[in-house]
Amino acid sequence: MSETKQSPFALWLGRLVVGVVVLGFWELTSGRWYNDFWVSRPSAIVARVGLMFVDGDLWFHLQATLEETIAGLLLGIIAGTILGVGLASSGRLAGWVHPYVMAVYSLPKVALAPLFVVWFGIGLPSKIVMVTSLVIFVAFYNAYEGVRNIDPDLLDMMKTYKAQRLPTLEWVVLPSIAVWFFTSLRLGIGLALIGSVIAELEGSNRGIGYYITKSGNSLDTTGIFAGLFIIMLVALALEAIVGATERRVLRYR
Amino acid sequence: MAANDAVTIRDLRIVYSSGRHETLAVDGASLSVGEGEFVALVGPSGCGKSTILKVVAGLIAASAGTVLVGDEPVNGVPDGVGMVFQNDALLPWKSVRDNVRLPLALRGLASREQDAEIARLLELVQLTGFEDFYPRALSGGMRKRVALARTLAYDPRLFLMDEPFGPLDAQTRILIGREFLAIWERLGKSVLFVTHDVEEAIALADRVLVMSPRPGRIVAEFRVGLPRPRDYEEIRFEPQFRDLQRAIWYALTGDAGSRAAS
Repeated sequence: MSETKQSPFALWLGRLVVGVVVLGFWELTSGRWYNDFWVSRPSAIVARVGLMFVDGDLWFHLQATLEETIAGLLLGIIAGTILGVGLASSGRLAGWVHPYVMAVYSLPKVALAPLFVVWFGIGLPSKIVMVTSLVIFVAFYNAYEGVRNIDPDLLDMMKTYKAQRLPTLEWVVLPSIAVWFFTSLRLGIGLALIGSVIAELEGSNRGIGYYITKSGNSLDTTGIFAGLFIIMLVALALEAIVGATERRVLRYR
Repeated sequence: MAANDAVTIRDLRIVYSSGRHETLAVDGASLSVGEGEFVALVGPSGCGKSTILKVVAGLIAASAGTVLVGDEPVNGVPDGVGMVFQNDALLPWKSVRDNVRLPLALRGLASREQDAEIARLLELVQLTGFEDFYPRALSGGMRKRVALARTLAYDPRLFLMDEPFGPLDAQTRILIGREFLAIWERLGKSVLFVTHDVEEAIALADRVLVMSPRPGRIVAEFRVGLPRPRDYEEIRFEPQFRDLQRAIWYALTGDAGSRAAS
């Protein structure tokens, strides 16, 4: 839980050492202690990504996955937040609807993929819907809890100033749930990538998920790892963007 | 009770219900606050004194009885009533400037007038230079001043103050109390001030009302005849202050009558 205090330099040096040791062990043992057919090796994976970059495969697949992930993420986050805020401030209705929302939430959304393909075809829309269906619940839940956790004194204070709904939303509700909003955004990144990759596995001819399936079908473990590595980079990049935005927006803390 | 009192409460009864449990918080409380009068309400914790404030502010509905602000029965949040909360109720995500701006923006004032008013109020509470600070970066006493400035920005005719200096340390409490007294003596607005601090009540108020333990009602009333303007600290050494303090203390502890001073 508690990390020992250390300088940033020591921290990053330590991280570098861990990475080098793990990857180095993988690199050196692969092909010596076991057949590199099963787990490939870091140098081959990086080389593959480089090759994909050069021959245009990388952008071709990455673009599709990014489109699905980001469009689905934004759609899910926005829709989920609006629904969450709306239901949490709806009074009685919340009690009526909440159990059904939770029931649908408990469904394994992956199992919905075939349904989305039937409804929306195998193109971009079905994949965005898949991503949205995963993200929307997290956003809904966080917004709902966020609204219910607003400091009641702040709401009382707004009431004594005779503030209407809209100013209350602007001055108190939205800033209050900003913390929760960023939590759903962070969790949403992982879910969105899961959603888009699963949707691509289900049926497609583009995307990193498709590239992974294709590599798997031809027993190309290097290709599989290259796909996973790219997804990891995308996740880290999105995390960094969200993290930077969060620090800006929540700088009052 | 005159018809044009700032607050009139008659036979107020407040029942809280949480789930199946019903709590009688206030039973048969009657009081009034005259126009421009400073009334302090003291009582043991849990006696319902804060609840009475919330009823006057229109945040809680009375179960029975009459509550008037001016001549109007309280039904929803009344006009011209400003509340200072025990925990400040500042918006943590807004700077000092924007916290004070809130009531001005809600009123729809032009932004240049808002800025002028903010500057004037922050000077009044001695916070000039702290405009861009967030509440988190301020001390308890400074946050209290921001809350005061915000309520002053609303320009209410009636101030409701719910143990506003409660969470402060003793020294800051005296400092803020003195500043607030000076501001109030210039403004002369009506105040209903809830506290459990008897000295604070006497030093500030024209009248001190003592409440019984729950279910709360008013059990004693003391008129504070000390002249104004008062010196918030020095006044504590006046013999009259001491007498009042003793009498109120006895009223609070239920040992009424043994040493009546009022």
